Amino acid sequence: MTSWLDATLVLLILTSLWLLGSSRLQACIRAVAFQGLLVGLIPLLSKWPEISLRLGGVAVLSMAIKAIVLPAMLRRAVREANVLNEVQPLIGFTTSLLLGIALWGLAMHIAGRLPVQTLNVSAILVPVAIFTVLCGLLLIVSRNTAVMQVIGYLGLENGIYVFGWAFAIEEPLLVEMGVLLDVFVAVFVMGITMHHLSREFDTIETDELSSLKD
Amino acid sequence: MVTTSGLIQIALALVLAPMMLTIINRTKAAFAGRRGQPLLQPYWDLWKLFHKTPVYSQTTTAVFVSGPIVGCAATWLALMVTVHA
Amino acid sequence: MWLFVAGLIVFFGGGVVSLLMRMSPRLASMVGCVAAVTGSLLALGSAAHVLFTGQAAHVTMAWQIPFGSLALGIDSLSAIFVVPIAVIVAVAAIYGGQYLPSSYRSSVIGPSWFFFNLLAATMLLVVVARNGLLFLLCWEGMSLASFFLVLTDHERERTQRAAWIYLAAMHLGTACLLVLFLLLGRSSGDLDFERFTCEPGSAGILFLLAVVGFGTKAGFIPVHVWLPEAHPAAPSHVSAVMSGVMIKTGIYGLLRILTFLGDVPSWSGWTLVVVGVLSGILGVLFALAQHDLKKLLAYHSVENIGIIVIGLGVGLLGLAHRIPPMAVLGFAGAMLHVLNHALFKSLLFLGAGAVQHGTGTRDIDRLGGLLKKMPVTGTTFLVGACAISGLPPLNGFVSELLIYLGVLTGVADSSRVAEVGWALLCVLVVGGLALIGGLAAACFTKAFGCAFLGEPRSEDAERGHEVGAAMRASMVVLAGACFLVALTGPIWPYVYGSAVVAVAPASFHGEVQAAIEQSRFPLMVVCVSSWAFLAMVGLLAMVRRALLSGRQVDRVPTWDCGYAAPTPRMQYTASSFASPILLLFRMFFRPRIGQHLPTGLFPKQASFESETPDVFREYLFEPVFSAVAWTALRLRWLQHGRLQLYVLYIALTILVLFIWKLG
Repeated sequence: MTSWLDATLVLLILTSLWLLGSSRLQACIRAVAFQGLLVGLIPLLSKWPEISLRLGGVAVLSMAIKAIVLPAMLRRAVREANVLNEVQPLIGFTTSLLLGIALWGLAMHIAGRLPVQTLNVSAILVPVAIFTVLCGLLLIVSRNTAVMQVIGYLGLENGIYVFGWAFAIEEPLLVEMGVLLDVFVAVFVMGITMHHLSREFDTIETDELSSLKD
Repeated sequence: MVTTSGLIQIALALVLAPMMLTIINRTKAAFAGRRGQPLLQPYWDLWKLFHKTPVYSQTTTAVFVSGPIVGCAATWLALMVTVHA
Repeated sequence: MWLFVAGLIVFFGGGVVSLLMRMSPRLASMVGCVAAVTGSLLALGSAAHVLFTGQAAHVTMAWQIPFGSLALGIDSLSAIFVVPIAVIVAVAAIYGGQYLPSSYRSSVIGPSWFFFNLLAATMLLVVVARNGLLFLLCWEGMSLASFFLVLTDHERERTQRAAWIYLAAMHLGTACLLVLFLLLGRSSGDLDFERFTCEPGSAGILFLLAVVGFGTKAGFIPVHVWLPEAHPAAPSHVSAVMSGVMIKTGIYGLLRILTFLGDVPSWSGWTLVVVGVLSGILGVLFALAQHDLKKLLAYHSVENIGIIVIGLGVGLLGLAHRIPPMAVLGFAGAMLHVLNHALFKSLLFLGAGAVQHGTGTRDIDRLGGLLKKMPVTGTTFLVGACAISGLPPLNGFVSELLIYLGVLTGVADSSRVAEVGWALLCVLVVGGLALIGGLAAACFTKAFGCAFLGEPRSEDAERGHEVGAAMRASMVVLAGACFLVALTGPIWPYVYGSAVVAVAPASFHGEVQAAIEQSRFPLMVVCVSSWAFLAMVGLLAMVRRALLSGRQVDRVPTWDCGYAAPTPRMQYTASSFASPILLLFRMFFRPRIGQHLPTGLFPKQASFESETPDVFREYLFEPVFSAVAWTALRLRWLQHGRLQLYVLYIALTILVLFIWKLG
């Protein structure tokens, strides 16, 4: 199943780049949903064919949450806050893509030097995990709207999930639940912030928050 | 624990306690060049006080009444403990 | 042990159910109260089993969280803390069942019972936890539950401030504990108590961490500042639990850590003695300066924790110098005082709650004459006041006597008479304890005398009325328990014996065991003389009755010798009662006095008011915290208010760390 796994991982890299390069909000939401689906597949593919009921359950649950529930919540938030369907970047799309490629190099570099024992299923599992995390961080830093930041968080969380699998943590559920809870809270807080921002400033740009700093 | 001599000691202490006042007053008087009170004066005072009508303030409560009782019991007990320990 | 676990489940279940019953506050209150009482009885049952059979109970479960297992265990040391917790929680719950609905808005009742049950369960878990992580989790849970309970009356600004001070202090303490547990678990790699080891040479630093960490919860001076703010702000039955038993978990923690440290240096005992004497004397002095009944009681908690710590210090010195009777009497006194203070302090807080409920005020200078209007509250408060002042035949006397005897036997030990340090110890402990006891008696003469005796000083006090049956019953039970401890003296060595042995190092157990047998004698004397005292009081009361029978007894107004218009305002006030003592110790206080003294031949207006803020808060913590705030202000340029920049800080830090470690 290694070839299938590698294919999934490559798709994961592509979705990250897609997120960085896309200028449409709806496209980004679709991308992150797809990424959630791919990430959910990884445990199944890496353990194939001995899949326990519990493993399957966790994978399906995580896919359901990441590919369906969270994107649906995001779409609803976007609809209710009347957000423009445009990503407002602080760093241009081309530059973001170039940075993304640089991050891939960095991820390969770091992964090669990590002094830990990894699950020996695919050579690029750890680099992909680190890359996904870094891309998520880049998205959060370089995008202006709250929705895009939530999407960045989701990307980050996907990366951490893959990371958990890379180290064959027997019970990734605990870590996973913790991070997922954080993401849920983030989505809620963003929802509330967006609601208030759009009411107060007629915009959801987080730049406006800086006027509240004092 | 309780010995006869101990009991006698306690009883004597109780009976002789008022005499202390006489001794103090007569010593003071001697220094001042007077003769001082009769030897049994505190006992007559006690006798008289026990026969007076008690008057309590309306403000007071049971705490006021129990003050002398508790004080007396505590001293008595201290005496007993020191005699027997 | 399963009884105990069942008790915990009842607490959690009852708490959640009462939280969910939003619609009916009455039912929520009933459920919360019944759950708290049932849970306490179950826990009490298992603790009693451990104490009487002498067999420790354990239960260990695997859990998903790293660093060891979910281990619970009741040994004798845990059991002597479970007993007061369970008793006080049960009594306070019965009281609260009546007090809470009549004093607070119905919307807070469900949550309040939820947090009350949570507090009870986490307190019990803290004293039975056998894993560092579980301990810290429950410790934090306990702090948070009590934080929300303090906030019950959350709309008042004072309450909010009190709660924040409390939260900050608790986290400061927990930070020390975290380091402490990590150091203890360093060699074994997990945090199970069984595998805790003290590396040679580190006992001193571990001891100091424990003193600061647990001392913050227990209320040692100078880290007591949260206590006089938080305790008065909570509802009274919660104050009773917090002051009576929650702060004792700090003492438990200290004792438990001592069992890991093995041989402790002599200076640790001295540290505890000095901290204890300071806490005791300053605590009671600050108490004397208070006008608020509950704040006064809160400062008395600092004082009594001081007494307990003196006992622990004496015990440690006994261990360090190998004098078994001194060690046994010191530890036994401290452990017994934990129970005793729980009983009388809860009683007094419940009494203060009843006063507030009956009159609407806690200001001592506005009360007066309440003994006639609230006979049960007044009488039980008097019992508590005598007990806390260390007067026989009540329980406070018993434990303080044991500590006195501990020091005296240590000092009288023939091999050490000549040592100068020993004489200093004797002066410090005996003098300190005597001063504390005397000042406490003065303080409660003030509190009881001004609140319950005399004439009402305000309309609020005039309108005072006795509280309901459940509240009275819980106070009567506690007052009875205060007598019971002194009247059943000789049984206590059975209770604290194995706990004292547990604290002593293993090489020392035989001698300690023998010394415990000897400690039965003073308790026997106390027991006999207490009974004798009661008998004599009864006898004298009968003599008085016989003398007065058939005779006229007059009751007339006070000050009737020609002065026709006495007013209650002519009475001695609490402030003026305390004033001479406070003047004597004025170097410790910085009272704020606003006065307008009468001048001229016919003065028209005059006024006097004084407020005594906590010296440590004003002159130690506030400057430190302002310095921290000043420094933080210098770093303001980092704050741009832009989310992206914050995340960038985090991301850059991670990257730099990665490259630094791996590059």
